[in-house]
Amino acid sequence: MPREAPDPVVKPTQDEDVWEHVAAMDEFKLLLIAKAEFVIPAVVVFVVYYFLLPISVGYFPEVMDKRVGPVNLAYLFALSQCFVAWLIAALYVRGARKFDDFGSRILNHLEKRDAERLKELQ
Amino acid sequence: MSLTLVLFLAFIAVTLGITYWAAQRSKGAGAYFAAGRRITAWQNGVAVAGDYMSAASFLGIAGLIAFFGYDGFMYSVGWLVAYLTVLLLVAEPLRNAGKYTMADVLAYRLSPRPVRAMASMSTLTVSTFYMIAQMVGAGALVTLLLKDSGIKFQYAVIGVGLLMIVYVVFGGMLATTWVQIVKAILLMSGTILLSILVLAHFGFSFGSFFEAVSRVKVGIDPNTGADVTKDFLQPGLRFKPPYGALDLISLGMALIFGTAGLPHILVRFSSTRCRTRRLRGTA
Repeated sequence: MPREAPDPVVKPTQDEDVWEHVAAMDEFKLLLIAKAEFVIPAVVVFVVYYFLLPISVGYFPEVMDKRVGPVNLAYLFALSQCFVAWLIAALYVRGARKFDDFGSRILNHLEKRDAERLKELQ
Repeated sequence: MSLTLVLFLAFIAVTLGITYWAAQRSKGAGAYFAAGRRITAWQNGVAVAGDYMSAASFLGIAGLIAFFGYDGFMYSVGWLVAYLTVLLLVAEPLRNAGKYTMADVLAYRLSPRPVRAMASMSTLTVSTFYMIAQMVGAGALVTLLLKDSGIKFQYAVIGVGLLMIVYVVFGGMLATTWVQIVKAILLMSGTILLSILVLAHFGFSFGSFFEAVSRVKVGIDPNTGADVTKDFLQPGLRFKPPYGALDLISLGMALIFGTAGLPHILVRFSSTRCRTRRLRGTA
């Protein structure tokens, strides 16, 4: 793959220390915590809820074949998977606004830092 | 010329038209592999749906449900939940890094050459097995659709393969995305229409529909002459003891973790411009 041509003016954000600088920022730590706080429980919930279906259908077929109205328990449980999936996706879209907020704050901060450095250089 | 042949040729003409239009527009690697990141969230969302709704989901799952009832239905549930794996575990880190492919992300952090070699090998392996199944399905379908013109299975497979190569080589990601969008809309409207027709057959009553499903006539008892029926609501028609439960669990694992790793789904997340767009697309 061909290397991209280097920028004519080297921006201060391309300094080696920018990654460490961002990693040390409070906003960045909060962003990572906020993401982990949502993503980890969400993954656990949907994986556990999903595997309850094959486990219950596989080990307790008689219970799951019990008729509820026109259908049986197994079909209702399978249908409920759709609603749980939509719910988690909707919650994620809501949570992602918070993540984006942290992200744009970090970017703003870096741009300010760049501007200050440029002034110092001049 | 039969109606099926006309519709089939019309679909090929429209998709080749899209490919020609995209080929005019795609300049450079960014435009080719990631559609210049100009695809919007809705377009990409519909295209992900198109990627998901392959011959396997429509013909395979419909066939499995027809033969095995509930156990076939388990496939579609797994595929649906797999969207969450894609959203939470794959889409986010991949697009954040701003790279085209999974290999780019890994190579960015790690030693590039061995990572790229391994990633290419795994992509080719997964794609090969996936393609074989899709090509066999497509070949069988084309042979069936164009039965009147007497096309042989081998030629159908070769024809489908050539078309795929033309779409991808000349159109790149922009054309594939639009072809997927056209496909997704066609498939979804077809499915909705079929569901309405089936429900109309049962007088729009879910009660009588499921009643019929639970008593499907599968033959006639040779001794008594009475109808032999089978209950297609009941689980366990395919996955039987002693290992049926384990089969179901391993199937579930393959579906919800495996689908997210399909290469053509992974590259799709590079084709939208900003993060929120992509997230909305996945949701």
